[in-house]
Amino acid sequence: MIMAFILKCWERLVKLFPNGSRRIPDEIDTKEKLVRGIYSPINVKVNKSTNTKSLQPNAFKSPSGKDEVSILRLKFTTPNFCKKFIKKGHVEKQREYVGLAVLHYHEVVSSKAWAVYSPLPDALMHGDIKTGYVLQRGQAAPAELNLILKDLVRYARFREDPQPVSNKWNGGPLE
Amino acid sequence: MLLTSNSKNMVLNCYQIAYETVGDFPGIEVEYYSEKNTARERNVTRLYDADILTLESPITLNKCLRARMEEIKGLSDDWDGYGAVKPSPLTISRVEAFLNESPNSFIEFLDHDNIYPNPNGTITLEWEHEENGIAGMEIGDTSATFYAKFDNGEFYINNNVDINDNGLYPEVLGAISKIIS
Repeated sequence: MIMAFILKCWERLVKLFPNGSRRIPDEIDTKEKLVRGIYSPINVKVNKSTNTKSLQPNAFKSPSGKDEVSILRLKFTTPNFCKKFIKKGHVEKQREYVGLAVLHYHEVVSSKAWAVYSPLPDALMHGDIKTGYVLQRGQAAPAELNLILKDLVRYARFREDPQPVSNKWNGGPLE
Repeated sequence: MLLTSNSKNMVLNCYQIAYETVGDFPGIEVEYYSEKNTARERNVTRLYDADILTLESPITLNKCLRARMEEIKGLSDDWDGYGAVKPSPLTISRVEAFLNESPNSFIEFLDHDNIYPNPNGTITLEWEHEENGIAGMEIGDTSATFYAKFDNGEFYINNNVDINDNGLYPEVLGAISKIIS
């Protein structure tokens, strides 16, 4: 009887959202904010004259053999979830986590890159930034790709996490 | 004091120079040291006028750049959390060789943050000037690429830089010089 009740509730819930993943549209709106987790301090540089931190182009470069730079679509989640999801990888891989980077999709397009929606089982709002270049291990990137990446970091806002250990995001608004 | 000899392709750290004439060939006797591991070995050699000697101030990586190269050497795979690979010993040695062959002015302009690894195992060096623009050299196992973007809107791109060449493309050297001037 309990099982029947649970099944009935589940059916009603599914009817409310007939296709869960379609709540998130495939097409990314130009005003959408895309969030990238930054793990390594070597992705960050310090401007000595202003004492501000910004990202190195390597923060937006794909690994070997791929053209995908993992991001989360902030419109369909929260900063806390972004941090929790990104830190999950940090804990599992024992990697440092330093903060989050934010880009508007129109800024990605202005840099001559684009993004696609690529949901993951544990992050339905996941996407990837693409540039059209796939590099092999040890292969120097063409200058054209490096110029795209310079534009991406020029636009990106890096928000250092003041409390990386906490599970909550207290680094200010992700604008 | 650093002594370079074009014909003998030697770069010596000299700590004593004595001039002498050997027969009909005036030359310089040079006492220098080389470092192997932690020991220093004293050597003596003779260089002659025909060797076109040039005295320069030492080309050494400053502490920051040395620390940065050590940091890069110490990276492990997946250093960025997204599947990055660490630079290979070959790439690292190519970068060090490039730095050793570069003019002093290029090295002095580089800062700690101007050298960074990339997720596919290459290493980038950047020269950035507020008013002049930016130049970047990316070095991998077997390839190197270069770009320069000047503040007047001009570009220079070279996707096939041979850093094994004893003389880098003049355009590459010229572009970096223009950025850092």
